[in-house]
This record gives sequence, structure tokens and C-alpha cells, in this order.
Amino acid sequence: MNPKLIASIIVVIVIAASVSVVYAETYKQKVNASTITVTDDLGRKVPVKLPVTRVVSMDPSNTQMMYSIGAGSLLVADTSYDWWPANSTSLPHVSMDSPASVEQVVNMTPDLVLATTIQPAQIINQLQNLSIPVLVLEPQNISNIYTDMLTLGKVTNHQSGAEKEVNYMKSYIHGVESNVSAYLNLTGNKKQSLLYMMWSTPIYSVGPGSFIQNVLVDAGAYNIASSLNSSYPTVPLEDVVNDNPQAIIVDYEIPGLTNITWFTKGNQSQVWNNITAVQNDNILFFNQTESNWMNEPGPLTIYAVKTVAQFLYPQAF
Amino acid sequence: MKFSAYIFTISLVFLTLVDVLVSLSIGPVHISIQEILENTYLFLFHKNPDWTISTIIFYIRLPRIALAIIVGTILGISGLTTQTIFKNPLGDPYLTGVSSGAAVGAAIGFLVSPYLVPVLAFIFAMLAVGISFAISRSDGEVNTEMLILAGVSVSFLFSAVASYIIYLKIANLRGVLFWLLGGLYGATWTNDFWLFIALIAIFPVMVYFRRELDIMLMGDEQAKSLGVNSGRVKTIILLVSSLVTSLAVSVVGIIGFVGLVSPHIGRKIVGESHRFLIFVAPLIGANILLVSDTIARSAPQGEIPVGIITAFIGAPVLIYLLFRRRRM
Amino acid sequence: MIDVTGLTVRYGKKVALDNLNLQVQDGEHLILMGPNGSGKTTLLKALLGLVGYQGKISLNGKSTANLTRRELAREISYVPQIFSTSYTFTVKEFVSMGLYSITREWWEDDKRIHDTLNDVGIDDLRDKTINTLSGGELQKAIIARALIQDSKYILMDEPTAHLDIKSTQEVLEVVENFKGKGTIIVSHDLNALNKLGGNVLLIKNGQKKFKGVKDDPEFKSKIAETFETTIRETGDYLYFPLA
Repeated sequence: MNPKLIASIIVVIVIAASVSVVYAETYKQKVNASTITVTDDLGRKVPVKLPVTRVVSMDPSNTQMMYSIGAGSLLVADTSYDWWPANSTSLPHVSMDSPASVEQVVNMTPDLVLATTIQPAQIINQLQNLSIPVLVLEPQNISNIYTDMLTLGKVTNHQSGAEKEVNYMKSYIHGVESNVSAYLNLTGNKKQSLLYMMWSTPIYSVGPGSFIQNVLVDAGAYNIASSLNSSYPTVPLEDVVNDNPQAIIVDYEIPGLTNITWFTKGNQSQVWNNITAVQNDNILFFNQTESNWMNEPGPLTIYAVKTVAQFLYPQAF
Repeated sequence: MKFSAYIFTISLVFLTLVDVLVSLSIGPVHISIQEILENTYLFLFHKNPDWTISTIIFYIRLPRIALAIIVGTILGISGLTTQTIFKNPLGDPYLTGVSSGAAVGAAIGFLVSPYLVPVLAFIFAMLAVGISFAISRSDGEVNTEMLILAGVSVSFLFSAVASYIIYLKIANLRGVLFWLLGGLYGATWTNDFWLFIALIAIFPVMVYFRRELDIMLMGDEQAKSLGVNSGRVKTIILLVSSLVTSLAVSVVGIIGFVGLVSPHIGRKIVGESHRFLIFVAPLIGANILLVSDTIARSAPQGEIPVGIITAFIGAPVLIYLLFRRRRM
Repeated sequence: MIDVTGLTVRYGKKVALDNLNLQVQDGEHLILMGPNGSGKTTLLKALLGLVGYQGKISLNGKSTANLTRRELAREISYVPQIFSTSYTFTVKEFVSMGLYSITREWWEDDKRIHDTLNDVGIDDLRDKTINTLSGGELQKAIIARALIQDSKYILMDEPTAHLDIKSTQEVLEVVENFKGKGTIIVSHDLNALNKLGGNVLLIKNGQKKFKGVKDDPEFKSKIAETFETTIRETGDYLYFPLA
């Protein structure tokens, strides 16, 4: 190859490298000037430049957290799947069908983006590379919801709103838990055994390590799938027969499984008809709102806890 | 050779029976052999058996074991005939577009009504097969080289359609995904019965043509000059095996490797001739699927998709056989 | 008698056989010669109904197009060009395939197989698998498979190509002993003609150039013309000089 060409390529590379080093340094200094660094649910340390005035939410649960701490007015875009506090806002929606359009998000000129892991890591990295801070808020249990909301309060300068909301949630959960434990103490009953169904054939459920399992435990349930060594186990039908659950919860919108006839008249009715929960018709079919409470970790999760507890122990309330 | 092949075929039948008994006593719920025997006696003579044990044995494990055997047999025999007719050792029963066609049917089924999933899976599987056949007809008979290419193209097309349907309606992703991974968790005596009827309807056809299948391995020209109407035999065998594979797929989803590996194992043991292979390959298929499914349903973390187990068993076996062949 | 009239075969636009007329008597030995691409193999395939054609081929006055594959296989058997194979059929199983046109039974221990293997001199190989045979052995097994069909005619495509001298001699001796069968042998070289005698059919570009015996005064000039070379004779032995 032409030595002149090689030389010029080297020169260009060196110049580009030094420019970018210098640029990165100045950028760091800028960041240091008025930023706080917070840790999100992926354990990433995310520097956020203050004040935050334009926030994009890429998940309904994130939207809910924003509104619940009183920071809803900072949102400049949300998702078409948002349903709380209002069914649809006048804000522009980012596409929630992952992956989101990076262009669309950048066009909002946000100074903070909230997301969950529904978005591919590439999207989050791409935004982060464009100097847009992305917080992944996806709590794995209820106390994790509290810390996330306090973090959000700190970043958006709505600390007191966040503290107020977290205290309300804590007392709400405490109320439910004390009702249940008082009832169990009084009657001497054991915890109700529960099968939680997210799919029919095979039986897809939740186990230790999943958010929903933690909600079920908080509601005083004994989840029969918790003996299986997986966060989202496929429960063998014979385990169901052996554990013979007293109650069944069916998630919203499982095709074909919307009422008890799937159990009593379906293909495997010979098995299901002898399960206690089916015999006593003790089956809760989540409606869409209940399912959303359960599946979107955020300020509304407390209602999921109460719904499950009330279903399992109606006399306790 | 002939004598030992007889012995081997019969011992395979016995092995299957042993496998059934072993599989019956294995599962996520521990039930001892004694409890099984006791409750079987009580159940059969209507004498108040233990409800948990008898339900697990008679309504969960046994129908599932039967389904594994029936589907394994279907995949084994379809795999064998497909490999023979295409003269391609990598042939499997899904080659003509069955799997991706069924996937489209299932995806549509989960949009419309889950009760229609098996029906639509079957219809679309046969549609894909039909398109492949229509593309590859020349001079009034099926051109197998064309059919492989047509099968691949049609598979790509249908896979794309299935993916698009899944992408459009994300809520049903879960159902389609479970279905695509395949599994025998939906086993019932009713399913078993209908698949069994289909199996005993097609099995004699395959057995009848085993002589022709031997000769057709020598290639079209030789087969024809020896008096085999290979065009007709090909069409009949491929249609029959696609039909019965589609039926199996509509019940258990797509389970790989069984149809691919069983004929190879069979050939190593009883030789190339279909005289015994036509019985041995399906028996091996039945045993592979039964063992795989027993492992799949007994895993400590809940059920594992059986296709993962068949791949874990099948791929090393296939690699071993390839090494053996290379050394020969 | 095989009677071919106006036989034309086309592969796409290429004309492989061009309005060919031919008669082969029962028991006639016919050596079919011609350069590469002259249509020799195509003629065999047309006779066997393996390619589509225009014109008429009849066997004892009946059109072969009206026969089923099995009926045709009882009249005409085929020895294809030698092939390589990885299949593990035993020689016995392989040869038994020739009985398909007669019976669909399983017959691999049939006396006919034993006799035929003896006739071609490979009875000792009957339990070997065909993927382990030498070229000469496999060629004999293929011939045995055709013989057992018990047909009136045998068509052979280059039966001695790819064989060493000794195997060539052995195979030609086997062919020499065909009794009463009409035989059409496609051959590139003059070995078959020198050894077996009989009639010669020369074709080129799908057209018949000559049919007759090799002693025909016209023959030497015709064969030289067909192959675009010269031909020499030593005693009774014909050969193409290489220089």
C-alpha cells in the first residue's frame, strides 16, 4: 500500500482519538458539575444531570411511579399501553412494542428515560451513548418498589411526594398482612395452598425469584409451585394432583381459559374435577385491571396484594 | 443376519414394555412400585383406590406414556421413509413444510380460539405440504430434488408468516412459544385414541411398500428398470407420512431429532433393508421419545420442553454415527 | 422382437435421438457404439421408458408405453453404468431386487439367487455388503441382478468401463454365456465387439450411421467416420490406434 496513505490514516486516527479523549474529559467535567449518580435495578450506576424536566417513560409501571410521587407533569412521552392514572394521555406515545424507536425518543429531547428490560439492552445502550440517561426500574419485590420510587423522587426533585406515597403503601400492605395473620391465628388454619396459572397447557406458573411469587407470599398464600426450582416453572399436572391446591388464580386473557368450564369440561377434566379448588369453585379469574396490578410492579401492586388476600381469606376482611 | 434381526426386533418390543414400566414409576411425584401395583389392582376392580395415586397413574402418566409411544412411532417411521425417498440421511418428517405450516396454523389458532389450534395446525401443515408438492411436480410425478428445495422455500415463507402473526399480537406469544417447543403435557386418552387410529391406518401402507423402498434406494432409474413404479410409491409414501406427521404435530407441537436419529440407529443394528427397519426405526423412535419425555416431565425445576431432551440425546448419537461412518 | 420407429428424444432444445429406426431380433447380440453424446445411453433409457420420447417402441408388436413397469421389467432388464454406493445391502439382498418384477415375496434365500450368483461366478460373495465390493465384483452383481429378472432382453450400459483388464475379460465372459437373450451393449471401446462379435449399431448425433456385422465391407470406413479417427486390424482384432 502507498506509505503516504498509511501515514495519513494513522494521523487521522491519532487526531480522532485525541479529540475524543479531550471531548470525553470535558463531558465528564460537565457531568460532575450538576449531576447525581443513582443505581438502577440492573445495578448500573447512572449519572443524571439535574434538574430533570423532561422524562420519557417506556413502560406503564414507570408511568405509574411518576404520577404516584406527583412528578407526572414532567413526562413528555409515555406509552400507548398506559392506563393509570388515565386511560390515555394527550402525550405522544413511544412505541412499546419492543424495540422502541430510538429516533422517536431522541426527538423528545428528554433528560431522563425510564425503562424496563422489555426493551432490549441495545436500545438502552444506544440512548446512554447519546448521553441520555436511562434508568431501568423493574422491582423484583415490594420493598424494591419503595427504593425505586424514592430514587425517582430524588432524581426528579419530588422527594417528599415519594416518601409520602411509600409510607402510604407500607401502611396499606401492613393492614392487609395483619388482617391475614390475625385471621390465621384466630382460626388456627394453615395458609391456603394456591396454584397461580399464567398458561393452561402446559401449566405455566411463578416460583421463587419472581416478582409475582413475592406478591403471593405477601398476600399470605402458599404457592404450590414454589417447591419447583425455577422463577417461572412449568408445573407438571401430577404435582397439581399431589398438592391438590385449595385455590386457583388464573391470569387475564389466557385463550380458552376464562371460566371454570375449562377445568370441568375440558380435555383433562378427569384430573381437574377432583382438585379441591375446582370442586369448591374457588377460582379467581383476574380481570384486566387485576392482572395489571399484578404484572406491573409499582404503586398499584398493593391492590394486587389485597385482591389475592381477600380471595384467599374472605372472612379476614 | 435375518435371525438376529428377528431377535432384535422382538427384544425392542420387550425393551419398550420395560421402558413403559420404568417410566410409569418415575415422575415429579414419588410413587413406589408397590403403591402403583396396589392401586392398579384397586382401580381396575373398582375398589376405591387412593385418588391421588390412581389419577396420576391412569389419567396423567399412562396417557402420556401412550402418547410418547404413538408419536415416537409416527416420527420414526415418517423419518425413515422420508430419508429413503429423498435418499438424504438428513431427511426428517418435517422436510416437506409440515412444521412451519403447522406453526402458522397454531399462531392463527391462538388468535382465534385455542380449541382450533390442533385443527388449524393440521390444516396449515397439509397446506404447506400441498404447496411443496404442487411446486415439485414434473412429468406427472414428484421430483424429489425439487421437493427438498420447495420444502425449504415453503418453510421459510410459512415461518415468516408465523413470526409476523406472533409479532403482531404479542399477548399470544406465550402460547405459540410453548406450542413451537413441543410437548406431551396435553396428553389425554382421547388424543391417544385418535392418533392411534391414524397410526394403525398408515402403518400397513408403509410395511406394504418396504420392498419398493429398498429398491428405490438404488435410485429412480434402477428402481424403474427393476419394475418399481417409483413415481407412484413416492407420492403415496410422502403424502401418507406428511399426513400422519401433521396429525402428530397438531397434538404435540414440533418435536425434533426423533425422526432424524431413529432410522440411523436402526440401520446400524439391522442393516439397510427395510424388511426389518420398517419396524425397528419406529420402535426406536418410540423408545427415544418415551425416555426423553420421562426426563422432561420429571425435572426438578418443573417440566422441560421435550425437544430440548431429544436434541441432547439425538445430536451426540448422530455425531457418533457420523464418526463411525467416516472410519468405515 | 424390439421394433423402434421414428424415435425422437429431446432434452430441452437439444435433440438426443433424431427419428431413429431399429429392429432387434430375439436373441440378437447388438453392440451399440458411438462417440460421447451420440445418444447411446438415451436409446437405452427410451427402451426402458426412463425418458419421454416421440415415436413408437414395440415389443413383439405391443407398444411398451402400454406396459406397466413390472410388465416391462419382465421383458427388458437393465445393467446401468457402474456406480459407487455406500449402502450396506448384502450381495444376496442386492441381487434379489431383480426378482421384484416376478414376485413381491421376500426371497433372498431363493435357489434362483444361488444359481445366478454361481452363473456369474460370485456365489462366494453373497454375504458381503455391496459397499465393500471391487468394481469388477459390483459389475457382476449388477449383471446377476439383471439376469435374475429372466427377461428376453438385457440392455447394458458400458459394462466394462472403469474395469481393469482381468475384470473386463471376466465380465465379457459372463456376457458371452447369456443364452438366448437379446442383448444390447453400449460400449465405447472395441473390446466387447472383438470378444462377443454379433451386430454393430453405430450412432452419432442421435442418428443411425450403420447397422451390420463387423465383417461388412462398409463397417471399417463407417466406424472410422463415426469416431472421426482411423481403425486398424491385427488378425481378427480391431483397435483404434492412439498415434
